[in-house]
Amino acid sequence: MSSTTLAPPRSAVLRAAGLRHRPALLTLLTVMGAVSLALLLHGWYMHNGLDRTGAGSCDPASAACAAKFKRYLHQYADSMPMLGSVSYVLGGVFGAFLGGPLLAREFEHGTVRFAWTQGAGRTRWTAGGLVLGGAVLAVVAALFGLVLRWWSAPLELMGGQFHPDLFVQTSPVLIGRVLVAFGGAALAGAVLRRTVLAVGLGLAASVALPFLSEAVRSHYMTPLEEPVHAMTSLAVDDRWVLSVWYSDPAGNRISEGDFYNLGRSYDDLQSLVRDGGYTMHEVYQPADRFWPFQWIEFGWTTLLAVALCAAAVWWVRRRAV
Amino acid sequence: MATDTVIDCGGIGKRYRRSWALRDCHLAVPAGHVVALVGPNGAGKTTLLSLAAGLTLPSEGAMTVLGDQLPGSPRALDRIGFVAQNAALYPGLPVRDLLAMGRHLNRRWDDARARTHLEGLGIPLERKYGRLSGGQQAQVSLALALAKRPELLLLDEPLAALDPLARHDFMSVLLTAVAEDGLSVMFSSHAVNELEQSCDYLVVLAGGRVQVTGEVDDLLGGHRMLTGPTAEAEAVAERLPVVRDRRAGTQSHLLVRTGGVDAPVSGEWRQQRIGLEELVLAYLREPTASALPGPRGAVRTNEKVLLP
Repeated sequence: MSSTTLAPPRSAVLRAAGLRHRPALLTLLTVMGAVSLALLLHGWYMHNGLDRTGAGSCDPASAACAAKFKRYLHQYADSMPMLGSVSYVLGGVFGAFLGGPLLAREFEHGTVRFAWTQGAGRTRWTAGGLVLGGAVLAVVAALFGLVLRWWSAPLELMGGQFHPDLFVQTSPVLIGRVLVAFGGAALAGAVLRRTVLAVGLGLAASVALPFLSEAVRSHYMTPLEEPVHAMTSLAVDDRWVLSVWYSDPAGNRISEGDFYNLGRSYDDLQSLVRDGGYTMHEVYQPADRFWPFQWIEFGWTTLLAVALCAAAVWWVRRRAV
Repeated sequence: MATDTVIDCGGIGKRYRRSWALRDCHLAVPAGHVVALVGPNGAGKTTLLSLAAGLTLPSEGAMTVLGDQLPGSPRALDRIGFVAQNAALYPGLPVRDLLAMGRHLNRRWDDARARTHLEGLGIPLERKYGRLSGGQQAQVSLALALAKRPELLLLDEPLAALDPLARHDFMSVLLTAVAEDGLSVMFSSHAVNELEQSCDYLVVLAGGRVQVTGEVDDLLGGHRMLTGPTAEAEAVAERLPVVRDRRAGTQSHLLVRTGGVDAPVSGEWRQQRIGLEELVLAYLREPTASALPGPRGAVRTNEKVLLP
């Protein structure tokens, strides 16, 4: 008996994990496919409407265009906010439903006693399942993110690409968020050994994560500041306006309340800013930081997911059946 | 690699929260036996097997398997087959996929053996594990464990959920494998009446401690059931280590350890050898009595040592 290799190669462990998780992965792909198909059909309908009403091709700054867009929203996109929130939860659902049972069901069904006594050992077996599940999930989430981004393009016209709901549904960020749900659910399953609890905690993590990332997102890079001499409710370009402040003709900073007290109407304020020497300062993240921000957020969420999975493996190593 | 003991532990203990499942457990099981592990519910049988399989870590003491291997180490996992209680496997997977999993997860794997085994019993490989009968599920678990060509096979209550026919089939496959490979087997069981045909080594656990351990032939040869007048029973009991003492008005029954010879008692006493079932039941009814070999089995203070 040779004693050079004491366990089967890693690729073999992954193949075994593939056999073990194939039903779950096939279910994931089927559901994902069905949802994507529905989104594609609905998206086609909405993009079609955008062309038909002309809201997609006109100059967004003009009043006529705003009216067209309003009509478009009314006619075609009434259900968008609702569907938007569904798709918002959906990404995390896939992660939690794949990650929750991954370890918890092994305990519930008692199959750990088979899996952990094979030559590969419990560490490789657990890591193999997590790697395989995470990899498939990442690919599926990437594709799903592309579909979601195309589908929600009409909303982007309205809210800008940095709109929180849209930002977390775009591909690299969506992958990270889904992986956090997956890792969180897997770790919860390893610790609690209950599938339902694990899935629930994974879902909670995927819903809570966007709130956390929204709180820190504006700090990824130092925001820029620009003096503006026009009161406008629309951003100049696709920038992400974080806040505004005002200064008087002497250049002193004045509070927003004081500024609003200076004029009686919107037109008064408008003329103050345009001709009266007052300045509105916009603090913003420029539009070309969209992809860097996506990758930064993808980076730390994915690291968090990897840490959660590593914690699950560590827990499995030290805990007994 | 020749190994003289398959399981060796001195003073091992396992605590779950506040209660001890196994405590101060001394055991040295030599290789090449079919070992029956018996004891009442909660005696620590599953815990002992889990420790040997590397599924659980001891709270105190240490155990080695297959000579000097630590349970759960890669080398031990490679050479030990384990069949869990209720033989739980993935219910949604077809038998063929389970075999493929076993092939991928083990360095040593005899696929032909598993297929021959299952095809010989008419178990369809494409059927899902969850749709097989209890007996077939047990056979699949056994096939997976034997395909590793283990040097030690651990089985936790393999017969508990099986009907008599399935039990017979299971044991015959197991004993054929023992005859072919010379592997060591340790299985826990409640079916005390079926032990005599299947095992040649006995371990009795009670209350988390090892109560009896030894080869079946030695144990059966080393005990005598003495039947004689109650008036002399006290004198006999003082001279000989009594396992079980039942006294009636005129006649008494004493189960004594004699060390392989007839007990030195007067002609008024009739002595008989007893069966394995009777022996096991006698010990289980008398938790303080024990029969342990030296030098590893410590002689208890409450145990009378056989006088020459």
